[in-house]
Amino acid sequence: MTRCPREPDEELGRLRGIAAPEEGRVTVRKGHLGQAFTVKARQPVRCQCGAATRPVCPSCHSNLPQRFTEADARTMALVGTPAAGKSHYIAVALHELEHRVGPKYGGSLMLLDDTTRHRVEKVLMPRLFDEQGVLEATQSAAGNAGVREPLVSRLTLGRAKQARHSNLVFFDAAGEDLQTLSVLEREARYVTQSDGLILLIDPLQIAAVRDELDDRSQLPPMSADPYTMLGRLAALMREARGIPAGRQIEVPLAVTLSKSDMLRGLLSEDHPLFRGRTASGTFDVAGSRMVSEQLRSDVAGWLGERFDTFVKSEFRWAAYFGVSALGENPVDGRLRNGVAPQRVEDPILWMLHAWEALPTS
Amino acid sequence: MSHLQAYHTSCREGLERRSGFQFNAASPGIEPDLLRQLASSHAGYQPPRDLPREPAAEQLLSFPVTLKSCAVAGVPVVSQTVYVGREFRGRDGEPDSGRFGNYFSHMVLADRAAAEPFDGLLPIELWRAPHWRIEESSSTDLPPLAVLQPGACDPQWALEQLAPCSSWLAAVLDGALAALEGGPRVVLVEADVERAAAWVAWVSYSLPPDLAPALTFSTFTGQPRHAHDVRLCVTTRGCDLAFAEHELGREVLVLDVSGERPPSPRLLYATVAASLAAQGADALAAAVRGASDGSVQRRGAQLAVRCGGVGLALSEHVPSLLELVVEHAAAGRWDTALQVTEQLPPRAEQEASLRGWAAVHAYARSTTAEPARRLADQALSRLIEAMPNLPGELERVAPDSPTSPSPAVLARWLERLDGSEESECAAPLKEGLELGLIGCNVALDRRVAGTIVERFDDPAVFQLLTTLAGELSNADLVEEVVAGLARAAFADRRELPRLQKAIADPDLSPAAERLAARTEEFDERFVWERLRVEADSSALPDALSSLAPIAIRAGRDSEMKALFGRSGPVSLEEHELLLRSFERCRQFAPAEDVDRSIAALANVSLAADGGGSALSEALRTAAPVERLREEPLFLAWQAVRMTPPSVGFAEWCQWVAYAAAAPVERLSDERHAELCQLASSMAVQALDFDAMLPAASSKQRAVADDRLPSAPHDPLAEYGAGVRSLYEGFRERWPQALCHELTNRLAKGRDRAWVGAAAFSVFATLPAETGELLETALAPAVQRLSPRRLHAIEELLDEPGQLAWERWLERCHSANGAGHGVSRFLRGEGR
Repeated sequence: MTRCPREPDEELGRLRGIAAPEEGRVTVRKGHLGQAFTVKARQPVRCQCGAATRPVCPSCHSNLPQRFTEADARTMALVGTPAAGKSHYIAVALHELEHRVGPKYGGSLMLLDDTTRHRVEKVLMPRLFDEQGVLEATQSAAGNAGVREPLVSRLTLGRAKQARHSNLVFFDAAGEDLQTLSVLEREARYVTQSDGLILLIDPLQIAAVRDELDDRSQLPPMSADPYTMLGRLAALMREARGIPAGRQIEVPLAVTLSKSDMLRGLLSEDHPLFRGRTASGTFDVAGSRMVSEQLRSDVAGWLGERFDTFVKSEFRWAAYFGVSALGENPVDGRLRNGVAPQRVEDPILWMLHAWEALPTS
Repeated sequence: MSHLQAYHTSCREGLERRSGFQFNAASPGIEPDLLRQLASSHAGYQPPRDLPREPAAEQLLSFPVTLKSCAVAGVPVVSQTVYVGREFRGRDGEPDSGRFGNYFSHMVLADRAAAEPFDGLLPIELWRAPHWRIEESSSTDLPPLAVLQPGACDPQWALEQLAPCSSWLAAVLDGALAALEGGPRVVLVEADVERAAAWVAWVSYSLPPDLAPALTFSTFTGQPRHAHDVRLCVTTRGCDLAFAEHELGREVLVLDVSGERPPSPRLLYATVAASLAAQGADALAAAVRGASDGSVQRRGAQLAVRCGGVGLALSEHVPSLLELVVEHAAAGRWDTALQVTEQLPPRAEQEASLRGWAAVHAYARSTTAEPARRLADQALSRLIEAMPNLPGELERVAPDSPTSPSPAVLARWLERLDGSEESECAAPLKEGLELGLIGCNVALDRRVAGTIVERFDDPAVFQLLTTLAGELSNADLVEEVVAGLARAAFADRRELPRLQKAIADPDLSPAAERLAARTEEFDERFVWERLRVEADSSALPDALSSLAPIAIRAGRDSEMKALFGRSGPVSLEEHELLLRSFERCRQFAPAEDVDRSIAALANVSLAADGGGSALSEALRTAAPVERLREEPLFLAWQAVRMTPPSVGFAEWCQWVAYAAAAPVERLSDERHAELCQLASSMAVQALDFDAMLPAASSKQRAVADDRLPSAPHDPLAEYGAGVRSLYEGFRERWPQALCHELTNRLAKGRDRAWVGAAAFSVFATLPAETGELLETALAPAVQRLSPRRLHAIEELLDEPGQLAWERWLERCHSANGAGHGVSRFLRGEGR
């Protein structure tokens, strides 16, 4: 069998920031319902020459899992300042979805591609859960092409006919890539095409919070403030999606305070963030709204009213969340009590709820 | 020399004036866009997962070091990246701080103005070079580097490093060469930091000098899945090696050199270079410095020939070597060419190899050099071994090429031909044809012809034979085949259809004709000619002409007529053809054939010439005069042929009269009557004496008159002599016939009055022994003429004649009873 010749792939080269690599020809197939990859069960995608190959994104030509099209894809972009905990959040969120949230909803989480499996199973999980150490700093996408590859998983919630399948695509990014508009536009363009945004705010990088903390020995360095980053993000979304002024962005925004365990001394004991939850198997809409309202006022107090005003004016759907991926502030890069996540699934479930991707009770 | 440089790391402050990963410092001459591309291509480090996650300073020294060579935006760049641990390096005695995952990339750009991008050094020779830095710069501006100094890398060092795993040398070089040719990029798994560089050095030093700078490589990459921009990268088992099935072998070749069994190298270059490495760094360096060009296959062949490594070649390497063989032979280096071919495997099976051998064979055959035959034999013996499975459309060799293979090798082909199954004979024959084996040796051709004759009924063989016949160079062979078929047919008539099939084929018939033309034995020749005629009846005249001399010489001329079939010639044309064939040989036809021709003539009307005239003409030259002058029928036809008389009326009449005088058994009454009719017609025409003279044109006659003494010519006397002969020949039939002719002539046509007047005037002067024509022929003829016609005749006569005319009419009237017209004329009507 003669394989199809390889040819320069301009799209992939643009994604990787290199000269067009020699790759297999990308063929876009369209079924009667429109563009489709026509992946059949237990049958690999095949090239025109008949050889087994892989599906790729028709836009950027990055690899897609073989059976990616069997469920709706929900792309979540994680945005935050350097050292805000983005990588930790994604790693722990995937772990929680797999081991706790999934079973609670009668579902499961499956990692879809080799890259995701390698990163999660060989890098993230061993480091966090076995070694109980913090993750290494995420390198800029400018110097690490691997950063541009998202983590792809399929979340199944509900049983039998009520089961809902969602492909969750998490884009992680180095904080450096999100700090300037030019870099954000160049290296993290995927952000503008995401179905949902999680803006991770490190409370330890908020001056008002830092001032109230007793122990400041393990604080991260300060970087760009969340308001500036949010403004940059909104501007980029409007430009990329052609959203005119006066019309809100219709992408759900989860304003998420990371490292919420560090806020215990600053917030009241009966703060809804710290209330226990029952394992109901359904998303607690009222409880989520209560947490959001309370945190909204807290953030307004720390960052000023202008932050919340901006959120309301720019985004049609927005909510506030407080999460802790590790459960404690690591000391010298070590977790003394292991990983003890808190509410990491809340932003994700809220978005699934907004997309009506949660099973009905 | 001036080399721009840049540092990329995570630092508190750099070119972007913030903390985190960025360019810490760079030479001012590097454009921002180029800087961005440099970061994308050369910055970054993913430490192996099996090394400490939080290494101490001394542990950092054991981390792999990335020396990467890869052009960026067209500018050759070499960088060194080392893992430095934490995000922020300690300053002023403070320890490093921040998260782990930091690296330090030092990039050095080629001098764009210099011919040698790195001052004459290979990129790998910058391994551990003194200019590399791993400390942040206090200033964001870096001065360009001056002349680069080599590091610790040289061929000797590389081979020493790789000594424990020398079995992998060929496989690694093989993969790298293939990658340079567009094959899958190589991911080499090697945990040892120095050996990782040594592998790259081995490849770099083994490559031809013009290819070595083009090798893009990385001595370590933590994410080999993403190392698309280098053709050779080294990684460790602690990195992500989970390539998908569809990537392995097509997009990436993973070589774990810790394994025991390296894959077999596919490229001859790699095999030879590895064998040279065993002889030492100097031998390797000297060998690869030699000139080479083209594909890696070709370069491998060049290296093998140069270093005596042809013996290492596998079957897939043969085509490239054979390409070189032709080149060496063309350059007159026959010894080299022969040395190479003698070392190659005695059998060739792959199509490319067979095509290569065919090219060698074709070249050797085309030259006149003394060693060419040996080379041709070498090639041909491989090709013969592969028969009948040679690939199609091989390079065609003309059989009359200057050099022919030796008989011993040709004999092997013949053995293969003879040993083939009857149904498989065509393939080796066809292959022999393409290789120019047919037609290059007379003795061989005879054997081949015999084989073709034996397998003539095989459609494929027959088709091949027609193909052979289409080329002039194969004429002898084709004739040999046809001769073989003929011999078989002459010996056994049951074989005749095969010969007929050959002769009927338009491609083979010329050969048959040539062969037939050379056959002097009557029986064989007769068969040839008979078959020719059967195949194409238009060939009959030629067949007769060809066969006649042979038949005459053999005394078998009477058998010639069998060419027309068992009953011999039937039509007048066939008789004529037969006679003409003898005529052309200036030989009389056999009496039997003459008699048959005359008998054929007897059945043909003299009045309607259906070929009788031509046959009689043929007879005239094909039979002795003695025979013909006794033959009234021949004479009759001669008379017909000479109408109007060209020999003088009296002589013509003598011929006719002689024929007419023959008894009825020799000239039938029917022919007799026809002849008489013809004679009467001539006699009426001859009344115009002037008209009867011109057997030649008036001009010719004038010339003759000038040359010759004017002979006394008495037309009336000649006419009288002629008419007398006719009367003697035909007797009582003669006046009747003449009367009939005159009646018709006077009744219609131009100058009929003149004919009447002439007949009256001439007949009146003729002696009585001419038949009293005035009374017996003219008188009945004018009986029915009108008075006006009779007056018209009269007016053409002179006065005495008119008087005689009237008296004659009156005499006829009283003697025979005049017709109505005469009576009226005599009464004076019609004037």
